[in-house]
Amino acid sequence: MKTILYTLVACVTYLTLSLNMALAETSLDAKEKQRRSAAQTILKNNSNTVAIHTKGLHCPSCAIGIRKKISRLGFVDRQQLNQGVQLDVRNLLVVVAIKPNQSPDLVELAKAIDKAGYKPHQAYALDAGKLKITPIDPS
Amino acid sequence: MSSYRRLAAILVVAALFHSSAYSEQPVFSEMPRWDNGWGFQIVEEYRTESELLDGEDKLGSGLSEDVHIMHLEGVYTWDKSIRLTFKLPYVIAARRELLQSNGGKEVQHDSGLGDLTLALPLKRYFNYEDRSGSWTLAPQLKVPLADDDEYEVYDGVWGHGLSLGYEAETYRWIFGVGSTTWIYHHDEPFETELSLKLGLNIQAFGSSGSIKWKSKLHYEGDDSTTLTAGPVLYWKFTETIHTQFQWQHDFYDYQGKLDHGRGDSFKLGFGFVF
Repeated sequence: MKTILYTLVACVTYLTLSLNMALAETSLDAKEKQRRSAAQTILKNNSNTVAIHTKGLHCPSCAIGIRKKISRLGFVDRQQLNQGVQLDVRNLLVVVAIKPNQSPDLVELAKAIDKAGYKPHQAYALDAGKLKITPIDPS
Repeated sequence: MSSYRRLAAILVVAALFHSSAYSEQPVFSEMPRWDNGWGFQIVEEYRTESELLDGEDKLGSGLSEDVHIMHLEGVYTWDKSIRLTFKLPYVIAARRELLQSNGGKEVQHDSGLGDLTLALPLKRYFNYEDRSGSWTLAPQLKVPLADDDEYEVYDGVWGHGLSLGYEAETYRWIFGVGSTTWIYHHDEPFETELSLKLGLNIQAFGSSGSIKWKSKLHYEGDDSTTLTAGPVLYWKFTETIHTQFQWQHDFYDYQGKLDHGRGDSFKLGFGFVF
């Protein structure tokens, strides 16, 4: 029993340290730069889309609720992307396709993401080729 | 090992796990995380235990127990922080061999419904730049549906349980700890289980999954103690259909009363979420 306990302690310590190192491996500034660059590329390649920076978007399986909630919104173009939504868990981005001649309702998008269990933070859109950032809040 | 030392060992492990806890709930403890989500899973379990134990001592030889169970489990999430789950097992076939007083072997069989478990998991999610996860508090109720025969895989008594859990994950890592305690009516001893899972998220073939290592320490009021561990593989086929395979091996087994131990259990499940 002692050996098992010591082995458990060693494993927990090692893996907890590994986890902390993994968390600290990239600074927040670097992540934000990487995310903006990724958003710009995605928005250029997919016309009439908006990208939402969503905190906590790390688990692709748990996040499928985001697609379920957003694809029901009236202004979302379900014919584009995957039912109108693309999830980029590496960059914490939810990309939403908007129907032609319609504009996205950022409050509705924020509410949908909140109901799916995540925290919407800001929206990225292209304005004359430049990245426009708008803070959003479900409340 | 005295019961005092065994209890102390369990408390040490509990402290290492920050005294928080983890409880498996459908669907595969992952979904649905969204308001008005629901789902169910069908899990086939096969468990085999190769030795009849009295404490740590093996009695006789070739006295095994084999259990084959089908589990139907479901969940409904009103709000992301409140869900209701049920677990209904059905024993397809169970067989155990016991030692008779004359030294012969007695074989017993069981089949039929197991006990129903209802739970009300309350979740508090957190979402950060670098990680996401939840704290869970889950009161549970066990409803006796199993018969009360000489040999029953399930006890067929009312029980009250409480689970506590903490889970977190990053883009790559998964970490979870949990504990569940059950108190039963009649003379059934209480049960406590501590669990720890560590794993990696995987993205491949246009989909995603995870590979985890899960360890469980199970203690019962009659001093029975079992430490099991093994891999858990999860894969998302589509956003509706999911699968999970789990293997748990007994690394340590002490039976406070005569019972089978030292074996393996295998679970293969398919989950559906809507």
